[in-house]
Amino acid sequence: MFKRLTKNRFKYQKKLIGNSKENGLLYNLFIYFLLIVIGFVFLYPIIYMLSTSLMSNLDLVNFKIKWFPSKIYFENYLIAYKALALPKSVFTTIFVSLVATITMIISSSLIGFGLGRFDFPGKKIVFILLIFSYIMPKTLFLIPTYQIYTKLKLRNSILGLIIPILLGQGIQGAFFIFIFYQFFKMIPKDLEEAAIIDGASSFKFFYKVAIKMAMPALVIAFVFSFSLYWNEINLYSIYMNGQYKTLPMLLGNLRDLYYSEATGNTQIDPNLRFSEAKAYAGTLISIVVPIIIFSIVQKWFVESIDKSGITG
Amino acid sequence: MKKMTLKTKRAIVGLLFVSPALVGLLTFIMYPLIRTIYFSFNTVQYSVQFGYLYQWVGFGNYQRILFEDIDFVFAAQDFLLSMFIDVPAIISLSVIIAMLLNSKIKGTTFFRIIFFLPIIILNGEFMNNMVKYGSLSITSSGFIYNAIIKLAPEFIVGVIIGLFDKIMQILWFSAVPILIFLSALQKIDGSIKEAAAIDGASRWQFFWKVTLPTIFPFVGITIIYIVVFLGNWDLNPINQIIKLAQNDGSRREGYASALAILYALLQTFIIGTLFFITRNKEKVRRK
Repeated sequence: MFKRLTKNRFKYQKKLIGNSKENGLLYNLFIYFLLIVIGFVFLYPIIYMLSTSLMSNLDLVNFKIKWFPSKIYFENYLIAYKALALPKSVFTTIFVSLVATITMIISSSLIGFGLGRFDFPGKKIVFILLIFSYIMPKTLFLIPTYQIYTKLKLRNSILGLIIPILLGQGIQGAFFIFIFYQFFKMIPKDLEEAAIIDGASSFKFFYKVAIKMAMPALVIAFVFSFSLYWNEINLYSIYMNGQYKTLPMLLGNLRDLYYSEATGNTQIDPNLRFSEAKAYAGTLISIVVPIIIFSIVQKWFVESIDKSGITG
Repeated sequence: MKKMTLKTKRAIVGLLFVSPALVGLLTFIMYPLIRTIYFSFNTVQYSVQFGYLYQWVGFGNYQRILFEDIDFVFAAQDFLLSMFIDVPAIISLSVIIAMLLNSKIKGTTFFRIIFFLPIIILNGEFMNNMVKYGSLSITSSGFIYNAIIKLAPEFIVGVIIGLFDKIMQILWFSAVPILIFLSALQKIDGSIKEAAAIDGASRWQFFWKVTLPTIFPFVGITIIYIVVFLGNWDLNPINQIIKLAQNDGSRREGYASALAILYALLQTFIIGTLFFITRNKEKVRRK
């Protein structure tokens, strides 16, 4: 009798809470609850912006209207679309962000591999310098960096984007190096020794084995670097002469761009005046592409493990 | 040619891999860094006619920042204190969220996208627009504020709202740490889980024996990231002080450079201390 009771207890426990292999019902509900509550914090500004961006200026000043516009007003988006020079600016931004991200992955994985797998004199100094270059407040580096870009004649071509990244000094370059460093460091020594005994060079080991085992680092680098370069303004507008008109750069000037695009008398029609609804419409347009990129890249997380088949 | 030992050979190969970073540090960091250090010992005046004019003042700028003016000293103390609260809070929260996002449930794709939103948002024009028109905080919208006022007894309303705002703020900064920990968790594959289940390990044991040791090596990077991100964030008051000093008639670049160097040293100190604390724990756990 007692035995049966305990047996039943375990059965219910398994169904409701689960064990380390399978989740129970209550456990899953708990996870969903937490994810939804926390997720709402992140979604809230987006929802708020979406509802505001669909309001006409008359709705905005009407304090009875908080979340639901009296009439869905798409004009904001049409105007933002024109003022932000879409779709050309989107392609420009995708182009520069992708070039930067791929370069970032190549350079930081190579440097991280060198730091993570090899010992050489002065390694600690390199580390400290990298951390310090990462920490230093960047406001004071603006002028000297500009001078360096001018001296090296980097300002008029795509090289201005590529070369600093290749040399580990892209935006937050040190961070990406550290990420790859950590993943490469965790690869067991035996694996590398086995590869070397089989006659593989260090470089071959790097691109045949190590990089596949550092797939999660690649995902981090892709997601984070893409959104950093997507949002970057100073680099494109100051260091690179503004030759690439990226979306966030235009977004910063949306107000001025808007008045050059808008037709009609703003004195007569209050809906034509610039308002946060228009700024929000532009802002939302500008984050669509990074979100799409996220949803594609995050799938690599699970796939990478199945493919490599080895864990470190 | 003399035959090299394996050790020197490997050192050379390692240096070859790292060499781009060395060149990068020399070309892009050396000059600005030395310039900043030199500036910090001078009073620097800039005029279109003469360019930069320097007047050597030794430690004058530093003395002024630390002993005469009060703004940096107070802001630095605040920053130091808040780091020792925020960093552990952000790390533990993001470990929990990363584990939630890694669990086998339906709709993880959807949730992952939501939880990565702050990565795009925090770094760009989006943030500026949100701050400009005030839509970042839920509490400022009145909806939750009203609920708290109605539900909670009067004397703790302030505490709850403060706590709520703090948690929300911390959540916003957790996106990249979540990304780091989530990818660390990818290293635990299904077979380890199965083996643990066969051995009868409870969820709790699994967390302490498998999950935590897998995550732990990534805590160091996360510390660096959080301190530097919060330190160099536009809304950080110390950055405002530096920017103001740059344009202030009596302070200028020299004073601002000294500020920047002190600030960088402070961040290095914080990172070093946090590293030290976490390293100790690792050793205890190994026993």
